[in-house]
Amino acid sequence: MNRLQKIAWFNLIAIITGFALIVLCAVCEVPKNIMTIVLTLEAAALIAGPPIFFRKKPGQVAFDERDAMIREKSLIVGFGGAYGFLGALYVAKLFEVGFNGSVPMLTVFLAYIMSLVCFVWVKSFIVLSMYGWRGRDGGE
Amino acid sequence: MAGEAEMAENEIRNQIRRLRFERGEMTQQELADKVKATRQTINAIEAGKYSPSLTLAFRIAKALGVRIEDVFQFESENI
Repeated sequence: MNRLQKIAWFNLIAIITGFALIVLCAVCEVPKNIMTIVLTLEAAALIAGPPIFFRKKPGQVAFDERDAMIREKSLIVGFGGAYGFLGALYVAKLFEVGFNGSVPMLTVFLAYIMSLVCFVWVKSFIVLSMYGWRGRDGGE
Repeated sequence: MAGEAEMAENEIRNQIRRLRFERGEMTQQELADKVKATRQTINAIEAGKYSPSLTLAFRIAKALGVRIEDVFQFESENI
């Protein structure tokens, strides 16, 4: 399994764990400040985790044209997925509050954060789909 | 883009595995190091799952000491 696959697995697991914790917090009626801490830790893990846990090995070719192609395709599909998700979210909100309604700024901010998470999730999913989901050889 | 890759995948055959073994059982890693690619990419090319760029194809041919057409063959009934 190469570095990109490991990062993709890490992102998928971090996102799923984060959502599970949020649902758990909501079910157990955990105070909002603890939920905020959980969300912050989730975001920190997604941003800071890969560079810390999956460092590049010096001297070894770890990234070539095939990796570049897979990364490019996953970025395009990821952005498309996040764009569609954000659009769908705003349209759903529009139907909920109507043309003359209003939404709190926190909703706008959270929608943006959720679309970023969607981007990372879709990108990781595409990376793993193209390499293969397991194996030392990148799926081959 | 995916369609092109799939088409290339089916139409391009390669002799990398045979040529590697004819050259002192060269490993995928050794070939990968020579052509500045990852072992996973060499594996994917050998398996016909990825068609390399022209540059990489020439590098592979040079590393194996043969002409590019001895490594890669284009087989199509459409042309």
